[in-house]
Amino acid sequence: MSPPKAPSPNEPQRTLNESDFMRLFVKHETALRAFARSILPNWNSVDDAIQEASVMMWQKFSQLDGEDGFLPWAKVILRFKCLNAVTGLRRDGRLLSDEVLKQIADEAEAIEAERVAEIRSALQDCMNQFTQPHQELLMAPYQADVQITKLADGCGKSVNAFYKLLGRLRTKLTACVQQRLQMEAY
Amino acid sequence: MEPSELIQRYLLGTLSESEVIDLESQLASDANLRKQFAIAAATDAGLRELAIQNSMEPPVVAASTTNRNIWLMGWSAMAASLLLAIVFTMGANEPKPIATLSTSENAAWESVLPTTVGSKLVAGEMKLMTGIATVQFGSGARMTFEAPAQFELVDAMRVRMVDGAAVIDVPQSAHGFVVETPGGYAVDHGTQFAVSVNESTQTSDFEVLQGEISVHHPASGKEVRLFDEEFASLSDDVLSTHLELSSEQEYEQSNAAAPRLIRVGTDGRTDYVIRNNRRGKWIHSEMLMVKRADSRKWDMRALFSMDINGVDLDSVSTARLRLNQVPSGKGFASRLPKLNTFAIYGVTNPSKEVWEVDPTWEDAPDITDGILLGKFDVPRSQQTGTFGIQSVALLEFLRSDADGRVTFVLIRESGLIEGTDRGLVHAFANDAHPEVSGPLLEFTLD
Repeated sequence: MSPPKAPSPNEPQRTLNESDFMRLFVKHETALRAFARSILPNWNSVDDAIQEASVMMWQKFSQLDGEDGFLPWAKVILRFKCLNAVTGLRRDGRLLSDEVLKQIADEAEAIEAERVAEIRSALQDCMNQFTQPHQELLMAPYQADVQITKLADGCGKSVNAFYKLLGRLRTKLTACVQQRLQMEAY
Repeated sequence: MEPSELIQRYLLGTLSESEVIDLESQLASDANLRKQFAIAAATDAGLRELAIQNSMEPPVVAASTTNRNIWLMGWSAMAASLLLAIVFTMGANEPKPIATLSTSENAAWESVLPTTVGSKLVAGEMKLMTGIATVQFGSGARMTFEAPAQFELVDAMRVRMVDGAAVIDVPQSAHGFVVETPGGYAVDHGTQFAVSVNESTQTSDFEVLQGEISVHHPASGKEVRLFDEEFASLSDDVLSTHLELSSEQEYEQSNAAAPRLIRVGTDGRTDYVIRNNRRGKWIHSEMLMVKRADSRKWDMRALFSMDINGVDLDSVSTARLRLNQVPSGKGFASRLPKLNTFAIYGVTNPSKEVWEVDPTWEDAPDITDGILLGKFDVPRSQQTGTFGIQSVALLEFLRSDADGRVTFVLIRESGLIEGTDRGLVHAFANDAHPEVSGPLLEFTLD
């Protein structure tokens, strides 16, 4: 079966419909967010890019041939949106160059959906290796900026020192995740 | 720092510019590290999901997080028609703005926060590199910062000054506004006051212009109240009050140094030449353009000269050559290295000190007609700013000049890193520029 490039909604064959889009998008959202995060410097810009990309995916959904192709297809659209967004963010400085970001995106594009799920479960295990306060600190940046300030205040430490500690904890956490992924690879 | 830690701190947004450059070069040459980066980003994504799920467990959930939590959890039940509506509310979980950037004059920033006028600002650090800018806090307090200044917006009622000077206006609604400085903090009781922090000495000066503030020194437990036109100084060890600023405490921004400074401009004696000897419409009337291209045809170098006969060089202690960069609007910055080096030569060949109208590339003074006086760097991302050199070589060159007329040649040493042309052309104002001054020699006198 070779569907025409732009099937009309009245096409008799089984085309993907609106609820398919919803289901597929939700199924792959984690992978898409992870992918966008590899290109963009912060979560606000990731959310914006996903938002814009999802609208475009929605509009172009009819071009998709089958649901197996959804994730790679969605990543192409998202990659385009992310690299566009980088241009706008560049005036804030302290960003990697487009060239390196594209190379990283190539690596991230190759991470399959199953791999993302593996990372997620490895992460859950690895989190248990940390003390409760450290777990809280690891999760603090995603709640609100204020939280970090509060946590730092509570311990009488500077925000700067807290970010340093956070950087070290995250390095440890990612090393643990990576180690588990390698174990699974054998 | 280990590369893996660099990656984490990049993701957290806490790397300095030089650390980003370091990470960039490591990533560019190491495919394994790029893979590691991709996995770190995926781990970050997982951690964020975990955090959002966790934040749902306590009974009290902030209203603003609810949308996203639903977004993350209750998928299959959602009707597709709701999708766009949900998609559009996804930005709702951003940190709450506490202030607005209300005005900005020639401001250049180093900050992860937005810096266009009217931007909503969340808590975070900002560094004002040049210019003047006003931040209007949600509480009603208004702070006008003068570059160079570094500060942290903490919340609508609190700011932390790290370095630099600011004037604070506090209306009734913001009584109790706190300004933290090294060594202590000031609480405002309805006033206009000025604060000036010197980061290197960790001292702060407060001056009440009108109204009342209290200055607190936690180390000694001391607290003083200041009224109209009173001053206090704060350091780690002491809190002192006085009725006037002593001379060494005079704000650096003040004009006290002005009489000791002499500036000499070019009086219109500026030009630039292009290797292919195009003139006419190719020569911009308000800028001096400088470029080095691989194809060479469009190389550009700038020339300018000053008459320093009126300056008593024996009483001069330092000399500085100052150039104001302006956007050229030509070429792509991404084709240049991150830092671009410029070199200034002083012309010593007497026959080349003066040039004709519409000089050619060959006839105009060149670097081989003079000596190197100094170099400066301009980041490729920067299109405006003041640059220049202050060197012993410059002062000696000026002193050794016989006729009091000195001529300089400016070139860019950095070429392209990619492509064969269309690299950014750098431009500096000449005397005809409507916004900033042309090349200046600045002398400080003993």
